[in-house]
Amino acid sequence: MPKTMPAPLTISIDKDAAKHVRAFAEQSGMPDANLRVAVKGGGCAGMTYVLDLVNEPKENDKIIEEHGMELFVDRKSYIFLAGTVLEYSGGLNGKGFVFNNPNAKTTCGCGTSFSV
Amino acid sequence: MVADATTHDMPSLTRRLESRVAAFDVSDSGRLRVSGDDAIDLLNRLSTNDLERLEVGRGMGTTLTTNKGRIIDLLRVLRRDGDLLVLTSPGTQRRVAEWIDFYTFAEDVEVEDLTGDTAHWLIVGADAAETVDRARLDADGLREYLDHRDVGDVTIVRAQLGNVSAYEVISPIDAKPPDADALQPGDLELLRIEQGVPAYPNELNEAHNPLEANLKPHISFNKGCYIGQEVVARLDTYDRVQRWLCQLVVDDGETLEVGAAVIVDDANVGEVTTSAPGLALAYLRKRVYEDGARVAVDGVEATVRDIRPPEDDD
Repeated sequence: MPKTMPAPLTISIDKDAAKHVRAFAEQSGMPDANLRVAVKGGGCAGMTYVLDLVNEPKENDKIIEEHGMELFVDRKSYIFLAGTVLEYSGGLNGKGFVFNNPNAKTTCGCGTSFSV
Repeated sequence: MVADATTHDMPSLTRRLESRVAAFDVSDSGRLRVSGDDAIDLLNRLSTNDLERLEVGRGMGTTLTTNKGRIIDLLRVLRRDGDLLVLTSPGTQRRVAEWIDFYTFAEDVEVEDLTGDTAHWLIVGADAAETVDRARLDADGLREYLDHRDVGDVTIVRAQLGNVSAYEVISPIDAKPPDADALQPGDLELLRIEQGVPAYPNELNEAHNPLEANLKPHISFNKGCYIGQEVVARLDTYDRVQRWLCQLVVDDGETLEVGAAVIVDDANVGEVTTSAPGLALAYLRKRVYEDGARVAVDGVEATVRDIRPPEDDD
């Protein structure tokens, strides 16, 4: 049997999600902003995803460049997000930004929080 | 309603306290100072009650739950001017502090364990308020559960043990004890059983959810998400709670064994969690949970008392 490949220890954003982040940044009057990706305690399952448009990283943030934008991730959040791919689910029934997080053992019903 | 079991031979401690005052040293319970701009917001996201509504000088019970809705501890959170004083069960303060720390990411929150530097007294009985006043701590104005006030380096808290009104005094470790008869921890345990009050770890533990443990008054069902909220809300909405805590009044003043099975018609319907002569607390399955029902434990018969909190009208 082929071995399962471990999840890559980085966080990535797909092209469509990056395009939507850029559109939101322009709508928000922050055309040069980048994306803070983080986790906070709470939500039904224990941890909730956080997205925020910001102009600068914080000290000790990990910085990931992809599709012409930068993702800023604090060190503690990174532990729980390593391997995550940020995608965008559009359309009338879409969910917006979706975190495909290999560390998430369970997610709550609405999908915005997870446990590890 | 909470029943005061006075039917066994010994006069109940609750009744005896109607004409006296007693102090219990509860310093083995935990005391954490939680400070920072995000302290309330974070604790609100981690526990069952709506702490965002908490005003300075007031307090709230709130349960820390796992993501499966199981009990880690029942906390009592006192909002002071600039910080929170969080009272935990005996021995859980380290776990509670670690739990808060684990879920602290970018928030401005700091936890300081005051347990070893402070003494903690529970004053119970008819003259509890006078005892507090005699110590020049001024119980006046502390009307609601967990109302509190700082007098110098002492915090005085309006407390409640079931139906028994009480005060708590949290002071520096070398402060003089309250002027009242000091009772033994076993007496407090007896009073707790008489009043149907659940405690860690016997009743409050990860085998149970807060609804089973009669902690519904400490749950907000409209505050939004907290860890375990989805499970707790579903149990309540769809009436899926399978057991509740009850009181057992045991025939002939016998002492039941903690952990023993509760039997009805040869079926195991529950488990004894805390016991004293003639009285016990037990988790009992929903299908047999009825005030006055008869059960057996190790061949000894007992009568069930319904000690669930009254349902809110709203």
